[in-house]
Amino acid sequence: MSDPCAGVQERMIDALLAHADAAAPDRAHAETCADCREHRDALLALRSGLDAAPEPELSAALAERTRRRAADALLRDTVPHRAPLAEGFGRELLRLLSPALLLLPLVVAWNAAVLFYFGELLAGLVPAALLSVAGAAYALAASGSVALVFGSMPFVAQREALRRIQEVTP
Amino acid sequence: MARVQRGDEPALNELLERWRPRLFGFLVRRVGDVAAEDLFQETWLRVVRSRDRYDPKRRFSTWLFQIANNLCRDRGRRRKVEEGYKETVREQVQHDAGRLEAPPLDLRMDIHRRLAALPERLREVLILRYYHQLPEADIAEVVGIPRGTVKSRLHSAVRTVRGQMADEEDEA
Repeated sequence: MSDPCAGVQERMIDALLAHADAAAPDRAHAETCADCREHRDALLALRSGLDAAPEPELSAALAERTRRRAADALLRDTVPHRAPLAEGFGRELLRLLSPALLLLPLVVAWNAAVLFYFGELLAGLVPAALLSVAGAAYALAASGSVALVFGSMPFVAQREALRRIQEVTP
Repeated sequence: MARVQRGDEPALNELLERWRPRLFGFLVRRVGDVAAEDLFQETWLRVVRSRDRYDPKRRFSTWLFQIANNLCRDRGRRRKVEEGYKETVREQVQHDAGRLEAPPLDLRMDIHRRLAALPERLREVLILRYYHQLPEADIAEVVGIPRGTVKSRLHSAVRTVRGQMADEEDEA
């Protein structure tokens, strides 16, 4: 394909996209050039296909439901972004909570095992009072870590929900 | 839109009525029937909730399609809507087959299938340009890419669909 043909074919695509006919000189060129004629015919077939797709129709019920929801939001929404943040917040929180709750029994079992076996191991070596204090401190630290992880989840979920809303709304 | 920003409900109804066919058409072609219904509602809720962010100097159509397109992308990321779209296209074509005035089934099936087979980055620009006649500058704003990239993607989309057609003719 020669350079003039490349230009002709590009312009034919532009014409297709604008729902217009190719320019007269390009049409004339296509009559004398097999490549460009083939290109033109393929674009005509493509246009027929694109135009054959029926215009999608929105049901009256959905239109009315949308109108009501949007009107409700307009009247209620004194603080913009409050509702979408709440929706996104729930979803994000669930996404964070699900794996954490699944892992929680493992974490508890692991820490209980550590307490039990270290207690057994150190029973003869360390005074009982000290062992109790160390055990309590370990249990407290482990519980605190778990509480910190779960307690931070609402904040992380809120931040993620807000980030998603900002991604979507220009 | 300026009236909607002031909380005027009749203005919102007018706006919704005016843009309803174009927005729904865009969404159906972009993500398929089932997802389009959800996203249609979601788009209008976003319009209402984000009305304070709308800059009246911008075209409303660009802002509206930008919200809708971002929702399509967001949903696609989270739910892999592409697979669902291909399925709903088949359902829609079967549903349409019952309409007497509908064009021949194979022609519509072809174009639905070909649009669905396009990568998202090509499909979104082709739909905005061909079906909604948005200028390239507006498409660039909606999609968030340079204008030159819009042009190259449009040509690439047309060539890809053309290539699919040629391959099928060869196979036949």
